[in-house]
Amino acid sequence: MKVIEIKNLVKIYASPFMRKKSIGLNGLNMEVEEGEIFGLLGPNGAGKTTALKIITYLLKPNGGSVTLFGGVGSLEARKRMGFLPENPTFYRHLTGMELLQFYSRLYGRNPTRKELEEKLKVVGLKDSQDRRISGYSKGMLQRIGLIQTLIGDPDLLVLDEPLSGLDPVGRREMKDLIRKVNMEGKTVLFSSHILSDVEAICNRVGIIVDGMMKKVGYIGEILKSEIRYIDIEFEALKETDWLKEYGNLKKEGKVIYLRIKDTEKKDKVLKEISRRGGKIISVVPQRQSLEEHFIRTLNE
Amino acid sequence: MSRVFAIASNTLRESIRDKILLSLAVLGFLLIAASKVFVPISIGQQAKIIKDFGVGLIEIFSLLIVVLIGTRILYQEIERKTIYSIISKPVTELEFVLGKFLGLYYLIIVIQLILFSIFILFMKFYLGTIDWFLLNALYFYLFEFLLLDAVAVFLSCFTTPITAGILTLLVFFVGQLSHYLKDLVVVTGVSGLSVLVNFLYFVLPNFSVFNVKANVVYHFPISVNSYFLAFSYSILYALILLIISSLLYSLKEYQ
Amino acid sequence: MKKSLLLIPLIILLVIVEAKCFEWIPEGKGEELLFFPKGPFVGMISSGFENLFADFIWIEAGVYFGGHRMADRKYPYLYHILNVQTDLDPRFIPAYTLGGVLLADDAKRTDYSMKLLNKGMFNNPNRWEIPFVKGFIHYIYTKDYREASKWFLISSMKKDAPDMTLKFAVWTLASGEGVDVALKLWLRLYNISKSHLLKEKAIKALTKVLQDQVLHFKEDKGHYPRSLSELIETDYISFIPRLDIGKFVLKENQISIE
Repeated sequence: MKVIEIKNLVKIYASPFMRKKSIGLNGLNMEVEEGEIFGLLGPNGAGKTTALKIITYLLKPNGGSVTLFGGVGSLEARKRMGFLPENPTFYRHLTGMELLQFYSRLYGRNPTRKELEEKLKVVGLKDSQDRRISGYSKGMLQRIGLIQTLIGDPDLLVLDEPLSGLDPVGRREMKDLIRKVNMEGKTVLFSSHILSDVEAICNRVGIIVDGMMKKVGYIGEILKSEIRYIDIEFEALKETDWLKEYGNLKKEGKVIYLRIKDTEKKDKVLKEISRRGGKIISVVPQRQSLEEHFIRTLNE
Repeated sequence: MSRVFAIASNTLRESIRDKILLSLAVLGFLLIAASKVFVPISIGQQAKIIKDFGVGLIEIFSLLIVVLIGTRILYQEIERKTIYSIISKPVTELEFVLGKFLGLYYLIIVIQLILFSIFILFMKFYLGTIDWFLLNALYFYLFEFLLLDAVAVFLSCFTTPITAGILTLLVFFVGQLSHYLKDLVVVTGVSGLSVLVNFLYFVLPNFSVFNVKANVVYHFPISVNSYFLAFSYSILYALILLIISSLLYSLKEYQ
Repeated sequence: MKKSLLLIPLIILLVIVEAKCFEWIPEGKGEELLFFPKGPFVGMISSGFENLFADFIWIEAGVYFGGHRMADRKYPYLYHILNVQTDLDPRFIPAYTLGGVLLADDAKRTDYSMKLLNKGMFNNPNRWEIPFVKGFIHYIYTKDYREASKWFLISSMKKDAPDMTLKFAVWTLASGEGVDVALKLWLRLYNISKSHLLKEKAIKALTKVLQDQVLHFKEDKGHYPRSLSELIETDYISFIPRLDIGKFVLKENQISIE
């Protein structure tokens, strides 16, 4: 089942006083399947947050359609999803525990203290549960933010930059958590700037540029699609000029690096180097990184 | 329905933990005590003056609470973006608005009870006896501020706290003048002005139905009609305002 | 930027309001009442807090009266102040009763006194105190004994009126200008008033009546009476007024209280 199905979504921001309008989304198409982790990438202002806010009912679209869980109503949809906004803020006057208790009641649940303590333990906030939110650091806010998305046991998690503000340990924990909940069957949609994170946990990736989905695809496929070039590292070959026709050559002391673009010729070149007495140290195919793919997509 | 109460008690907690409340409470206590100042120059009327003072001050106080705290409640949610985590949860706009309204109303009830208790103690201390008839004012105030609470919630839907506060004050005072307005309609023959005055009279809530201050101090009996009117008028008007507020909220977007 | 722009219309509004306020000043302004507006205007701005404002005006009236009593003993605005107050709080009886007496006695304006008392009766038709004071004013100040008797009678027919009022109605009719009626009236006033002001007034008046009788005695008999009891025996007075603070005695030909 398609958990999220977006067709031709349009969002126009118009300030009532100024005549200029800015287009937030310009006919976005997007689908998120059940059980996957979908990463939304894009430069600043591309429309990632706009799309997420429309999905979570914070903004209303000007055109197009958003269908959630196959077509349920707004109340039902919100029962089945959890949202973590970017740079989340919560009620400063409540303690962590009180916050979770409050949100639970909004889902019509009444968990015991113990149950909530367990949840807090998972993100390492058990010791701060009775501290006021006003005293929480950004990382702690992010973590309790994730817990509050899970309070209603949702089928879909929508996370806007969930890893921002976390230190490396925190990031790893968050990524583990996302993977964990995904394995429990939850669908996850999140946006991020940090490409390596997206690369690490997503199944599918969508790149938004100027309010439209430029490219969508499975991580594996995007990365596999091209081996751009192969770097061969070798030594003990005196004559190297003949190699120039195959690619770029660089000498560093005793070691010579050859970057060949025409990957078909790899075997031939290797054979020839060996025949001439060179010693191969390493052969490394350079795949297109997600970053390069991303930047390339931007420029298309 | 439980969501409404959840939001209400959260709102109450937020207000209590807000330092403004503490300062207002201290101020209230001081003001009631200050009525003693007027005793020596009251020319034999200290009982009346203390009662008028107490009853009047409690009303002004509750007014301050609604104007200062009530108009900020909704705005704060949006400004601090805590509303993001509410809208995305299964809460309807009506539940949200009702919850906020009720939270403020809990606060008003608490304040009224505290102030009336202080007032009763003062009466016992300064006048020797307690005039229980004055508690009728409590009944009418509870409904008066139910209505004003709804007005504040409604106004803060579409303006900033300062504007909403000023407007709430205006609505309160013009609403008290309703009976004057009615007379004014007769007196002013001028068409333009009388249209305006008529409009104000009919649209703005009529707060003079809650004004029993003269009655309670002079011990005039209050008709059963008045009790019933206060009850039904306030609840009906408030409901309408809250429904309109929730409709306005459903149009809102949060960038 | 937007907020500070709001200040300009607010200031203009304030200036206009202030200008309007000045329009409401009564004619012949004394400086002290420069800011004392007319009744209906005060009613509108007190918007629901009429009683409280009336209390403040009551205190203001006391200050005004006390101040002028020390100084020039003239009270040109007393009626106006009491009038505004009773507009705001028509049920406040002391404004009519105490006010009525002060207007007749100190301010020497029995016309204002009557006006105020009439207003009081209109607003509080069931109270006995106001027609009683009206009768009192007629007896003591305008010396219209028929009117006095009439109002005492009316007073006696109100709810909770003490028996005294009926007796006064009879006495004033029967004896006209009678010393005893005057003594009784002032004694009654002393007993029913709660304010020091009226009580002092009553004591002064009683003292004067008794002193006058002492002087009459001297004129008639050629010598001063030995005591007040002698005045009773010789029918100059029929009783000695007794107050809660003491009774009247004659010492060295002067009336005092012990």
